[in-house]
Amino acid sequence: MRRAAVVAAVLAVGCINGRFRPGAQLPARTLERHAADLGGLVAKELAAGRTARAFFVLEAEKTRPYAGARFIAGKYGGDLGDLRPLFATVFRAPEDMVASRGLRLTRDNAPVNERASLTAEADDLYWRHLRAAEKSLGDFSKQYGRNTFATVTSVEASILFAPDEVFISYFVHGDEVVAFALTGGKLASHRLSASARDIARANAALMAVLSVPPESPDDDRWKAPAAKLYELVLAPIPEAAEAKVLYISPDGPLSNVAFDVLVDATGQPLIERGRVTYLHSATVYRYLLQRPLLDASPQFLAIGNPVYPAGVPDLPAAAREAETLALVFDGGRAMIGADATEQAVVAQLAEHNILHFATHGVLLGTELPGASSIMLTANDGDDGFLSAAELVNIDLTHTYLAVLSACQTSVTSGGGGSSDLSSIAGAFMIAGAPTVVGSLWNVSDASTTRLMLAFYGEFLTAGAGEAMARAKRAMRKDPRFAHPYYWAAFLLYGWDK
Amino acid sequence: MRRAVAIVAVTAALAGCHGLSYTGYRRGAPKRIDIERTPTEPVIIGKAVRTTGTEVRVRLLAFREVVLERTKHYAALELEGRATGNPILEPVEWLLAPFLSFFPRNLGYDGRTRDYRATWTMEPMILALSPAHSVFTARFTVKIADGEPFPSRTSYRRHNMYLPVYDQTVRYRVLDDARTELSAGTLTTDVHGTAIIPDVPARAVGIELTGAGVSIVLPVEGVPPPVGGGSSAAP
Repeated sequence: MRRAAVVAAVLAVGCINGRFRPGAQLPARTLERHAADLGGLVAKELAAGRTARAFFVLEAEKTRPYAGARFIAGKYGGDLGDLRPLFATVFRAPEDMVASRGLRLTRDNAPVNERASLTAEADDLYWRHLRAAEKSLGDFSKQYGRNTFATVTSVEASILFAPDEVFISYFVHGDEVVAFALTGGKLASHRLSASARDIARANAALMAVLSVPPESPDDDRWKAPAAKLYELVLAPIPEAAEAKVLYISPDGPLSNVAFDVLVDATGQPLIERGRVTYLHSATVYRYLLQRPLLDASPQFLAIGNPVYPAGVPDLPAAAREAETLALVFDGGRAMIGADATEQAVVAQLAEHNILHFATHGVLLGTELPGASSIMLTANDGDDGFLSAAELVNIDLTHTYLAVLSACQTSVTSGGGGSSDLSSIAGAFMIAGAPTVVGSLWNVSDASTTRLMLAFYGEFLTAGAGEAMARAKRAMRKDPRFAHPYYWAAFLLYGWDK
Repeated sequence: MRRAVAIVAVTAALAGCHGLSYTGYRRGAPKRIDIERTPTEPVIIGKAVRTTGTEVRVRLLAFREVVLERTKHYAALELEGRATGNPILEPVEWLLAPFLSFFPRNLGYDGRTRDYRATWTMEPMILALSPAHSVFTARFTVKIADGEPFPSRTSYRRHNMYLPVYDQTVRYRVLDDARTELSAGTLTTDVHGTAIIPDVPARAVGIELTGAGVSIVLPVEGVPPPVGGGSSAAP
């Protein structure tokens, strides 16, 4: 009889368990079984017409790299050694600094292997985390997302966004691109007619025009490619047509798209009617909602124009930018020139919660994962390259905002959006910063000061996302800086309010 | 005995075993954070520093205090347990009824705490004993609660901001300690909120700035040049 009672209780618990979450979902074990090809599972669910389940799997797939890296932040990266000899190759010609394609690396690929094993460990922790959350019958909050990366269902995700906000999650599988759009509690999927290659080509054409200073204030050569890219990636999504706030979870070639600048049917760039925030996934956005935000007073640290190695152009406007911005908040501090050594800056990161880097960034993409760096002043102990691999080993969970007013800090060539170490912005997020502003191209330092001042001017009064949008609109109103070259490079990742 | 068991089984089967027996709310992750931001009107402050013998650099800042009132709204799931009835389990429920007096509580399905809230139409033990209800086979439906069963938290913070007043054209008057005007003109601040006033005599002690509806007088800081050392020191 006693045995029967136990069996009955277990059965009862079994009946209850698994019914406590609204929306289509799949067990963690099923997801883990398809870990090698979650994208394939998304495609399979889509083919079967199970959009909500496909969305759920995609959420898991997109959350996995960030969550895993967060679990082992502190050992995800590593010391890549002295990068000076490596970058000396890049700096032979200044233009190579921001266009390091074709760089021939002579280093062995030990860091790559090291990272691969750490990724496996991170992945393992992620799956364990999902299974534990699923099993926690008594502690419901563990299933439902408090302090957890448990994948959100489309129903759970829908409450994270206001009725006028649209969450668009792109899914690239092979050459096929599908967009999931979630707004007003409704989920829809749209298969784009353009292939991933078409999108990559169209974006390259747009970037080629955007990333160079305009020939004149009236230079509008960017409009045609911006309109074409809009046709490819947003026009097929009816939910995006009137959206005031777009949350974009990019994938593949869409990771490097400046959505703000895309020109819609009215002939105006998106920034005129709304704003765009980039997210890893809705699950990560929910995680960021739980972070303490601006509970302490802003402790501002601005780093400007460190001492660069030979061959790297000086940024005098960046030094003044740092000096001026340090005045914006009480107790702000500027580290400029020789003071901005890597060692000193890293020591100060723990003391400050708003970080502003007005310096050069160097992108090394997939050539050497983790080597993409922010340039600081070298000294005896450090090479002066604060690399993505080093950044993720620093605890930035107390940070509210990191602004990378440097070249190409958002660009990723790893295809993993802002969650992999090929992007500096991604490294800041993995280190724990909830909001990161990065850039897609090399921006004029004088105009950036103006943009950043407008941004910080609205940061407290409007929130990061709206502040960046208003700053961009303010730039557009000034004929000298209306061209998107001056404002569209800066993208905002993560928590935006 | 056999007859009694048969009667009970039939009774349980016929009882229908329907009805709402449990309503619970579980607090989940925050769903949104409403932030009310109240900035004060900007107050122009500034600083005038003598940078060379004859030049004074003026910096204008707009001071504001911003009050942030942040309310974190939590999502909650609503669970409804409806007894659907399973006559086979009824005898088991009778046996387990005494344990059920604390069983739901142990699992967190009773009462009200910071993270959950639950109401039972009747005590779980009584439900278990009742042939008209079945606790173990209750059918749970789950949805996101429409309202906010759990109170939101509001926090208040005040932060100060000092923004450069840039691209602003103002009139200036250079004053001595008797408030006599030594020179005057207009200046336009750059993106850093700064502007240079040239040809400032050594005996100048203050700069009056007027524009955009405000007028302020800034003391000139910094060491004045030695007497006779500046080009405009002598009247």
